[in-house]
Amino acid sequence: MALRETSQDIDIAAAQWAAQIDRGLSAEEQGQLDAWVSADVRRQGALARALAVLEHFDGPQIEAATHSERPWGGLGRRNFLAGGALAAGLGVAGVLLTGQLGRGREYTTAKGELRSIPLEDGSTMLLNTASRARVHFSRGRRDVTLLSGEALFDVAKDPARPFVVRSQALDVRAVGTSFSVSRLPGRPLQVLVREGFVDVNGTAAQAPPTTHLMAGCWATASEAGDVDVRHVGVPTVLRALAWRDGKLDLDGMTLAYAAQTFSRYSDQKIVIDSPAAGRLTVSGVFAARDPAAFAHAAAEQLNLKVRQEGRVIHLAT
Amino acid sequence: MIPSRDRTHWIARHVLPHEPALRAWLRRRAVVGLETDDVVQETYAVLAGLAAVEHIESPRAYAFQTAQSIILRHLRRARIVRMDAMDDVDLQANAIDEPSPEQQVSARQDLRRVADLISQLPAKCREAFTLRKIEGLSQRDVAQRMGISESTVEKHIGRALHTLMDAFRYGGTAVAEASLENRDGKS
Repeated sequence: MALRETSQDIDIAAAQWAAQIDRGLSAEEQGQLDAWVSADVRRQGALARALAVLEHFDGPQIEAATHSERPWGGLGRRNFLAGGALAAGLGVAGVLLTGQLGRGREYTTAKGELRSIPLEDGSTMLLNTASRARVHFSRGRRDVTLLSGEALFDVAKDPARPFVVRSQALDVRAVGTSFSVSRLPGRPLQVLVREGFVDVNGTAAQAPPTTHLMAGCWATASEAGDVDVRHVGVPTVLRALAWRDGKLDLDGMTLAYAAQTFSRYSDQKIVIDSPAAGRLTVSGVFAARDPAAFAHAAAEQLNLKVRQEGRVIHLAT
Repeated sequence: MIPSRDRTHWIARHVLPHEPALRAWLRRRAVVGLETDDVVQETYAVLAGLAAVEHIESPRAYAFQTAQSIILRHLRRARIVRMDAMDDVDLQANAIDEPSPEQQVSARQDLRRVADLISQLPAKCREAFTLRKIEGLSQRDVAQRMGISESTVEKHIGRALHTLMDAFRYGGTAVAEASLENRDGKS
C-alpha cells in the first residue's frame, strides 16, 4: 500500500491547482482536476481553502465587478507600476518641513457636503462631510495636510514627485494609488488603502519605522504615530468608503457608533435613550444625510421605539 | 467539485479568519492517528460541499462543530476507543465564542504578518502575485508584462499562494518564515 499523502503535499498541489483555475482550465485540465479532487476528501478541502486564500488577496477586480463606473475616473490599474518596482520606489526619503505647508490652498466642506477636487497633477481629492485640507504642490513633492475630517485620494502616478498626506502625527506616502485618511474627533487616525500601496510613517523623532500597506489594508495610528494594521480585504475597504457615494455601510456597527457617525453628516441628531440599546448592532446601507430614515429602519430591525422632537430623533427600548 | 465563487467568498470572509483558533482548539484535543491538518482540510471540504450556507448564523461555531463531528467519526471508525473517551472532544462552549478583544488584537497582528509575508516572497514570485492579485491583470497579461511564459506565471502564483496558505494556517510570521525555508530546502 502506498504511503498516505501528507496534508502538506496536498496543500502544495492544491495551490498549483488554484493558480491553474485562476488562469482558466481547458476541458482536459478540468477532467484531470476532477480526478485529482475525487481521490481524497482532504484534497477537496485543501482546494476550497486555497481558492479562499487566493480570494482574500483580491484587488480592484472585485471593485470593478461591484462598481460599474469609477466616479473619480483617471487611474486605470495599468497605470500602476509593477508591484516590485513600486515597493522599491516607495522607499524615497524626504524631510517634511512644516513651514512649507503654510502656503498652498485650503479646501473645506460643510456638514453633509461631498466635494470632488481635481488637483493640478491629475490626482483627485474627494472631501467627505465637514472636512478641511490644505494642498501644497512643489516641483519635487505633492503635499496635502488633512486638518480635519476625511478624504479619499486617487493619486496620479509620478515617481519623481511623491504624494504625501500628513495628518496628526502621521505621513502617508504614495506614488500612484487610491487611499483614504480620516481624522475624526474621538477616534484614532485611520488610513484605508483601496488600490496599490502606500507607506505610512510617524512624524515624531522616535516614531516606529515605515509600515508598508497594500490594497485592502485598514490602519489606525495612535497620537504617538504607532500604527496598527489589519488586512481586511478590498471589499471591506470599499464598504467603509461608501461615503463617496453619499452612503454609509453599517456592517455590524453598534447603534451608538452609527448615531455618532450620522451626526457628522447632518444637524439632525439621533439620541439613544438606553445604553443597552446603544450596544445593539445594525447592518445595512443608508443615505448618509438622512438620519431619520436610518433611525426608523434601525427601530424596525431592533424592535425599538422611535420618537422625533424637532431636530432630535430619540430611540428607546 | 470546484466550489462556486460565492462559496469561496463565504469561506474567505467567514471561515478563514477563524482557522488559527480552530487549529489551536484541535491541537489541544490531539487524537492519536489524526492530524490537525487532516481535520482542517476535511472541515473545509464539508463547508465547501454544503448545499447552502445562508442559514448559518455563526460560521465560526459551525466550523468548530464540523471539525468535532469529523473527529468523532474517526474515533468511531477506529473502534478501539471507549465511549467515555469521547468526552474529551466535547465542544467547550468558550472555544466557539466570538473572539475576545485581546484575541482580536492578536488576530489583527497575525493578518499584518500575512501582509508582510507578501513582501518577503522571492522577487519574481511577488511581482507575479502582486500584478495578478493586487493590480488585477490576467495571468496572460502578467506573463507579457514580465516577459515570461504563462506557465511560469502560474507556477509563481501557485508558490506564492502556498506560502500564504501556510501563513493563514499558523497565523504567525515565525512559523511562516520557517515554512518558507523548508520549501526552499525541498525544491
